Amino acid sequence: MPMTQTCTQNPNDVIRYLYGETSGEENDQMEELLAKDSGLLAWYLDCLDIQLGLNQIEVTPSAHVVNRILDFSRSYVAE
Amino acid sequence: MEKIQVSDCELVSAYIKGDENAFSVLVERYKSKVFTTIVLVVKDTYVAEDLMQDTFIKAIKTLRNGRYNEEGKFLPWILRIAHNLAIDYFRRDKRYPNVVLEDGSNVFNTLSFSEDSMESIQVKKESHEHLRMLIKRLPEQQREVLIMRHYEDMSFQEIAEATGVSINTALGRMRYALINLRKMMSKTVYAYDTNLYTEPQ
Repeated sequence: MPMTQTCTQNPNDVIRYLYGETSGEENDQMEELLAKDSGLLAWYLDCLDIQLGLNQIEVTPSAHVVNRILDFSRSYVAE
Repeated sequence: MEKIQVSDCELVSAYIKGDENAFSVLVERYKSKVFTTIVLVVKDTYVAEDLMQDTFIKAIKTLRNGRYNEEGKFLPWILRIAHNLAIDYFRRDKRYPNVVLEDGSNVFNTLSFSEDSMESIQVKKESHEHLRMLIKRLPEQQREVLIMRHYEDMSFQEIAEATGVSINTALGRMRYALINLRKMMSKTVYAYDTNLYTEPQ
């Protein structure tokens, strides 16, 4: 997807950039845009902050359910 | 000396040949990632544990019956199974129960953080409990894209195909999810803004 200069497209491009879905050429373009546009830079930093927060969320299942899965595997006979 | 980690592909092959230990390693490696994805969709740890069990049982049957496509990667594959089961449940029973564990404690008591002091763990628990609550409040389509992109590591193109929308719509949903999270994060827990943005249809 080519990076465009419209207001609507740039925030979406920032998200693609954030998640590593932009090409090397697009990365260069985005870094230039971020250097010039303080609003876009603020949006990128906000997204980065949220992304870091999302990375910290991890919920662990109980040992009980893990044991049930392993027990099922041990007793399962292929059809 | 750094321990060499056996690849998922090797573990899957060993399990298909009957090595139960290989499967235990896979479960241990991905149990939290799979469980987190399910919890974020269904919002109920009891249901999430049942669905997690169903996910792995489906995987066991597929692997043991020789139906696993070895060209795919194990984690995206099992996350896709988990996601589909969770979405099926969520759409069938749209419920919003409190997220509690068997001992009555909050689900965030089990959040795990790496190499932090007890003080910083407490602070992080509180801030991530807050963020977790905010994710629950997102409109369904935005929450779905957020979970698929962030926790299931699907590309926006894959999300677009899986949800039957254009890539720009998928990106727009993600953008509004992030805007809404930021908007809600700027409010205190006592003054939530209930007016969430939705993307233009």
